[in-house]
Amino acid sequence: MPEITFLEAINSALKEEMRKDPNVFILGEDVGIFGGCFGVTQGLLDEFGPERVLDTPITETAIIGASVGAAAAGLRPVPEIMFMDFLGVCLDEVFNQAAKMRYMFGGKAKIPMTIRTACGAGLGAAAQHSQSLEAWIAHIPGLKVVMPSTPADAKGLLISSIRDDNPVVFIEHKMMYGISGSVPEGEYSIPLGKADIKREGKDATVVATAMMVHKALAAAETLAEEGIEIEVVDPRCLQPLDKETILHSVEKTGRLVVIHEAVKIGGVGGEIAAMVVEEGFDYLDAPIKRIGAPFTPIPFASNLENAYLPGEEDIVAAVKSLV
Amino acid sequence: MTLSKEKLLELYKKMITIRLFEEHAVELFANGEIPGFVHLYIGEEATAVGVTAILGDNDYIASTHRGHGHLIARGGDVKLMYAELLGRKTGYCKGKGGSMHIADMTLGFLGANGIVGAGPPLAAGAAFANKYRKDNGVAVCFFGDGASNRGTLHEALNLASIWKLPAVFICENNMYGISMNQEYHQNIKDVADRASAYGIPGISVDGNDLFAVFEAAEEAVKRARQGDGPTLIECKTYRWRGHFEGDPTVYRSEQEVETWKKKDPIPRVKKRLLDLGVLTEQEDQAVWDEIRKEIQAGIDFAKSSPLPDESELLEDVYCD
Amino acid sequence: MAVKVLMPKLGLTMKKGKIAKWLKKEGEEVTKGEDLVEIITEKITNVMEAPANGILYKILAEKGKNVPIIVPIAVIADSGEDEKEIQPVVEEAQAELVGSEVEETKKVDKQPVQKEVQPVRLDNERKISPRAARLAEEKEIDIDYIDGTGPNGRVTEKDVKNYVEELEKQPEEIPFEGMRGIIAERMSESSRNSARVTIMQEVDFTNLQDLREQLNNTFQEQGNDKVSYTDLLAVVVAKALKEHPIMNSRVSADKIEIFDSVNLGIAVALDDGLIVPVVHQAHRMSLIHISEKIKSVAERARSGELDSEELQGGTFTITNLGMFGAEGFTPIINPPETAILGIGTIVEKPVLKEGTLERRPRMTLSLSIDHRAVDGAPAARFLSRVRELLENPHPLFRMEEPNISRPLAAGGGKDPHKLMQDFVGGIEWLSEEAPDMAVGFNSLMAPAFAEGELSTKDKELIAIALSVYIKCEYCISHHVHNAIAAGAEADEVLEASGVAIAFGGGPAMAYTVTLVKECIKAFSAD
Ligand SMILES: Cc1ncc(C[n+]2csc(CCOP(=O)(O)OP(=O)(O)O)c2C)c(N)n1
Ligand SMILES: [Mg+2]
Repeated sequence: MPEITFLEAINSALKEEMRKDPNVFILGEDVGIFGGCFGVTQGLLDEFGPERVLDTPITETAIIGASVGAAAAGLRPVPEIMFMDFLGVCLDEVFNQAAKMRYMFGGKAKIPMTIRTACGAGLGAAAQHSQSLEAWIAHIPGLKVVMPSTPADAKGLLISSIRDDNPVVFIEHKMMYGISGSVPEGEYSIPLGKADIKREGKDATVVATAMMVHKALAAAETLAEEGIEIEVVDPRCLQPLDKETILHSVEKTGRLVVIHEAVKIGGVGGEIAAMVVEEGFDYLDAPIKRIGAPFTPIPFASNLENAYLPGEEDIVAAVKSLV
Repeated sequence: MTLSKEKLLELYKKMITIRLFEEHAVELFANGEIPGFVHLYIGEEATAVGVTAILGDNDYIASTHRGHGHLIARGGDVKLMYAELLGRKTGYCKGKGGSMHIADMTLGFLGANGIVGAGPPLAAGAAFANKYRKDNGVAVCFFGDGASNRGTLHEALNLASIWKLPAVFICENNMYGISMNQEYHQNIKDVADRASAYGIPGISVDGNDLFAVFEAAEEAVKRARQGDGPTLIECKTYRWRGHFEGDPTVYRSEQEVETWKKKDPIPRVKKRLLDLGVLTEQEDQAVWDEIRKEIQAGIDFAKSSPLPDESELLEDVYCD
Repeated sequence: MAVKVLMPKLGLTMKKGKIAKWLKKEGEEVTKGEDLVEIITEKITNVMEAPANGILYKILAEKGKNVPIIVPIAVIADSGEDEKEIQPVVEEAQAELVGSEVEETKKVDKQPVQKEVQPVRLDNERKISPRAARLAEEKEIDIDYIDGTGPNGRVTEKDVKNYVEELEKQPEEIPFEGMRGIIAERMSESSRNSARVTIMQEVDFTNLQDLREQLNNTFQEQGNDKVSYTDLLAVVVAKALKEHPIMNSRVSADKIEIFDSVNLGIAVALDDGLIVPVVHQAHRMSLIHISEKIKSVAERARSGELDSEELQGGTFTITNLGMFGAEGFTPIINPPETAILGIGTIVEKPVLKEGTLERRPRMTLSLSIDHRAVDGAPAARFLSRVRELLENPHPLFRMEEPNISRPLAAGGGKDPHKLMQDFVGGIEWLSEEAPDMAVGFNSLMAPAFAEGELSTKDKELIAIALSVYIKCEYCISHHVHNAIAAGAEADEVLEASGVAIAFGGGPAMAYTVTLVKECIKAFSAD
């Protein structure tokens, strides 16, 4: 299996789907000649031309609004919102248009579009360029939320997202673009709504998303040295959520830590924890621990940003407090 | 009103300060001392300095991601700016905001902004406050050609026009929104044309000509203070550096950059000063040297400043 | 090529061994398979053979040293091998040996002083995890019986499982066979047949302690091993038995057999039982002889290497539970013997000696007799004799008898009455020896404390403060006594002493704000 980066995985998913399906096109700010703010769409303009790789003005409202319109009219747009933080600019288009059209129209419409956007802190990009806002989207019925953590997952899931007939928000943690990993050769896809067990363990389940999957795997190494084996579960999709895999794991281990980079309060972790309490209460041998960022905007200074970000030590401490 | 000789010299110094501040920021960024993004203002100095020259104490400014020049022109402290760029406790925002969020409320400076196009409605609101308080103040909003496509600008212009707000909208048309040339991102040549849709004056000036910018701003601010409502001024200019530090600028030619470098706004002011006999070549050298020292002092201050304490992470989220 | 000689692992559980004796000297030639060194483990003494031909080049671990297994203790080199080639091997071996010591000390450091105990639950209030609760319900278990070992004392699934396991567990069975079987049979035989009576007496161990110390000092100088209390007791008991032959006997259904030879059984506790090797002819043995014998039989009892005759022919048994902290107990007689002496632990106790409380080490002797053969009175006489010998053992062991007194004093160790007495007595002595000095002192004292502008009581109070300040115990007792005699109340005495307390701080303060300050100025100016 070839080793490629997270960024290359997304790029190749886009290429493959564009080659396969002429209805697929991408649009967004600087996605063309510039190749995307982070370089994800490099080479697409050359291969597919300006009809299918559309550089837009700075106009998020229109990017998403137009995507909704195009999707309703039968195309399969893949708009890019450069930073997830800018979703605020086009919330109406996401929440009131894309999400609800099918339902409001009594199932008579479908909106097959995939919004790609970059989340996450760690670059010193401060409060308006670093957020992880997946919980906002996961709260809106009608939207699917995908948050991969490895190149292989990113590629397989992006392909499924593009092929999905529903609006999907595909969230890419910007600190992971450089992470490499092996990716299956040839065509493949990963169904939306299937969690993946990134490491097996018997003593506690750690449900982690995106960058935190990597922190959890690092924590697993540390804990293993002390004889504690954690199972790292990556839901990969937050909507729909693979409850079964999570519950299964908790049934096995009896202990659950949920970690995400987003602010803990009101985060997806709360939803997962609540789900486990509701549906797997009897599996629990200890209280559930949630780990997330503190309730504050993301600071600029590197030392503050480091303090802000949840990490390996938090996971180690949380697990140890349970076993 | 024409600029007095002293005022002119002061504006000249501000332009040099901006230039040197940014040139040193290039170095600091390259040395890894500045986290995150920096968007530099080199080449556009005449616009910020020309506009702010006319402003008084009660006036507000809404800035952009490319805001260092706006704040220096407004009288910002380079020490506190560098400290903020380096994420120090002593910085303008205690290290919490960084380059993209520098603000100085004592100067009515409502902050740089990480969201393109966020400024115009904020400026409209500040202008409303001026009008409400009848304090004769105006609000100035800087925004780019790229931002001129945001709905926020149009909504703000409309609101300001119907409410006759004392606001001045300055479009810094540097021909690009990141990689996108104006030619591709809008179907007009002059952003100023958009004023007609709101029934307000719109003019285009050479943004690299301090005097042209000043004159246009003077007129617009006068109108605003008189209660005649907002004006849209488009300053045509050019950023010498990439969109942000690290941008390989594949979207424009070296030749284009060279052409614009010949239109450097700073020597144009210097020439006028020499002509007026306000400045000699020798004195000019001293001016640059003096500002260089000031800049170095600012950097030294920043570098010797402590990092914010981790305990400050949770402070300033809410008022007490 | 030079080879390292490693401490051998001589048994499955062996962790380290002690070098008892090198059988070859450095520089001596050795052949592979030749005896090289004697090694003592917890269990036995072994001889290790030379692992290679050559010369015993360097002994790294000297006699008496404890070395972990597979750590170098010596180096054997080829004869005629180049120094340069041997040296690195020696150095490496030495480093490994030193390294093992470091590890050893580290391990010792880590050892907890006390066994960890789970604190006792005071009430039934505690948390239980849902998973544990479900399991408990499923198994119909009352969780009140479960200790929670999870965080914050929460009862977890594991706790419930452990409890269930405990409930379901069959009792561990140890069949009465082998040693256990023999013990069972003999003990029940004893209690079935003998008419057991136990009498106890407490013995003062002060002198025996001193004696043992003296003896061991001497023995050590001579290069002998130390003797234990058991060794001393064995000698004393053998002596007493010779004086009370009825105690040195065996009983059967129809007769009592009284023996001349004292064959002393010494009960040895093993991990899984008890064995009583016999020291024959104990009454004829020297102290060192008996000590070595006891050590040897005890060691061999533990390693299961006793000869069968060493387990037979006993006429009296000593059993020691003192090392486990037992004070008095009722030993069961080792049949067919008539009596057994139980030895308890040594306890420091307050004891009234000629009217004063003394702090003394005491030990309880518990003598069980078969009333069929011996009556209480002769047994008690025997026991008293043992006590007597133990309390005054010095002549018996040819040592100088000390006069040891360990008064238990009150009041910070100072007895006010005694202080007064000592002082007054001292003055009397001085009046005899140097009357002039005594008279001179008295002529200073009398006017100083006479009623004058200040009352005697006030003057005595002043004296108390001064006495405390100059820290003179005799003065304190004297003046407190006098002040109270002059009508001072306890509060007044205390207040006077309080002045002294203040004076303790006063000079320090005064010097600090004056002389120290001036000195700082003076010397920092330099
Ligand atoms: C709402 C929003 N969309 C996109 C961006 C990313 N972005 C930052 S600066 C920029 C270009 C701005 O161009 P322009 O307004 O012309 O200002 P300039 O950089 O040329 O000064 C873009 C697209 C943003 N910060 N905010
Ligand atoms: Mg621009």
